[in-house]
Amino acid sequence: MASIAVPGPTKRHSSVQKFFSDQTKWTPYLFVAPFFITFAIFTLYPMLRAVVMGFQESLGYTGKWEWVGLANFVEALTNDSRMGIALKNFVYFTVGSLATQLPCAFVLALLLTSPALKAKSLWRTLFFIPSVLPGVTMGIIGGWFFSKTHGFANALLVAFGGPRVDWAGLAQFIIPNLLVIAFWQWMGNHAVFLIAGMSGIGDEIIEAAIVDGASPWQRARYIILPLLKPVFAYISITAAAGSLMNFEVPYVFLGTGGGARGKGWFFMTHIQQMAFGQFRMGYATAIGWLVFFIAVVITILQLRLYEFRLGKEEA
Amino acid sequence: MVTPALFMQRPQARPKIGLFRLRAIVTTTIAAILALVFVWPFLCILAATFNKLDVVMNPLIPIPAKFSLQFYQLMLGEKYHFQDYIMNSVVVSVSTTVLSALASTLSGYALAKLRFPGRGLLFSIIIGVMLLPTATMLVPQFVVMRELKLVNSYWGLILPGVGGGAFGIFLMRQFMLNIPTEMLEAARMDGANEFALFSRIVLPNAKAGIGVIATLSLRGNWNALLWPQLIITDPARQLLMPQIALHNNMMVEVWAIHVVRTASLVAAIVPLALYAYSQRHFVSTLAGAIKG
Repeated sequence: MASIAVPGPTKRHSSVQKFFSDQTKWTPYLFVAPFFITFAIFTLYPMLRAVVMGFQESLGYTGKWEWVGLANFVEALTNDSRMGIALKNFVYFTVGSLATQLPCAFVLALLLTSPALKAKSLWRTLFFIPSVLPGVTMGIIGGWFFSKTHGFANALLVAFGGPRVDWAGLAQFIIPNLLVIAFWQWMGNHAVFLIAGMSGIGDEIIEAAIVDGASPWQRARYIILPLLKPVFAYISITAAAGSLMNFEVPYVFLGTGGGARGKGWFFMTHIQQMAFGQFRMGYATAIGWLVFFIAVVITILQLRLYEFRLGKEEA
Repeated sequence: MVTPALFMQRPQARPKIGLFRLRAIVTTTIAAILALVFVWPFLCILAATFNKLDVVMNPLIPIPAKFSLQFYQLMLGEKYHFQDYIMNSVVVSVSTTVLSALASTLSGYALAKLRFPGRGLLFSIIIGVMLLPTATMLVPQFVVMRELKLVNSYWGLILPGVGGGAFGIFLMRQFMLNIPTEMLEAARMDGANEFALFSRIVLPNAKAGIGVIATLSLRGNWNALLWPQLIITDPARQLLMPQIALHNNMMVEVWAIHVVRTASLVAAIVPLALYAYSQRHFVSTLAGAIKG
């Protein structure tokens, strides 16, 4: 990189004067200032407060704090049934989302890249659109879809001679319903990402496979699928992180009470309820740190998982 | 363009035109049917917002039993006046986006192209804090806002949006790295000062990047539910998304649910329009970010 010596001032100045007389010295700080000042106040400082707050408890809404040591963490891990529900729902929802969405997204991506297909970008757009909708809108649409009296799901069931199901009132339907909503919202999005990944696969690899007599099925299974592993890794890590922070759809779809028989708690709805429903801000922060810990563990595990498999193939 | 990796044929073994046309018809029909199944429920709820109250409508058919703009009138009427919340949301998300795009562009440029002591440290702090999830930051951030007396103020929504855009900084820095350093050096040699450099060379070259982060920020701020719900306590000043969620939780009249549905579909117009506008940018940028 070429670096050009800026001619210094001829007179001798104090170091402060020197700093301000050379524009290239102080403008960088001016440029980063708007972001870093707000960043320091509204992100960095709260982060430092978070470290302390996990070991504190707020005394109601007074703004006073009491030191409680590890009590928050102990309570969250041993004496909070909603934490157990939230963890179970997180695992169930994440695994369910990936297991239903990824295979369908892969098949859809293969279909949408077929050269015989007309109006490719139209279909791609239609499948992608639900992922653009706000979480609040998705929650409301979900509420309509699973409404007992005038919902889409029950109308379909009744049309085929089935019973009218009280989807919202039964705890066992909470996660399946959320999985249906999530499938509708994210499957097409994943397919578009996979299509983008497919465009990175070199023509010569596919050509070589064709010359070697590989059938379309063999090409999909043994060439395209393995080469898309980084994309699958990216999708599953962001999906897991997303469902860890799952708030809007469950909050709107299930309401503030955690759904039927309180079985629909997620970490975010629990934190929100603890902090702003019961004013236990210290406790809610402690849960936030536990969620951060889970996020780190999951990301490391997933990276390991995909790297390990890639490494094995190279060997 | 996307390589049709799976279906590519050996050059000498091209299928006959008739066979190809048949395949085109079959695959296009399958795609069309799947897409129709996919958007069908959305069309149905959209039609339901144009139905007349008390007229029973089949939820499986996307045609109102009796067409009426009743729910839209109610939504914008004296009782619900959602237009106020839409305006509030527009004000907050546009100001946040403008300020945060400006701050990110300036910082991204400085971090990518200017050399100054402390640059590496600042960048590592951003990357480190970027990893902290909302779950951890939500409550402490709210406590700080309360101490700064920014609760129930739009600044309480705008300023954290400007200072929380670590991802925007990261993205802008990546875009800025593509601007040739020689171009900047040449302008400096010609006597351009640092501000002229930024406005005449950096900004025009960073347009695509600014477009992407502005779109992401606008969409994120428009869609936000949790933070405005906490910060804004005065219902009249509340934004659109928290108001929809609120009305959804306390439905008093029979028609309230229909008004809420109508408002939630109207609320989706902004992200849909943003998507339509920036579709090319969006898909190619995100695809570029995950390649390799």
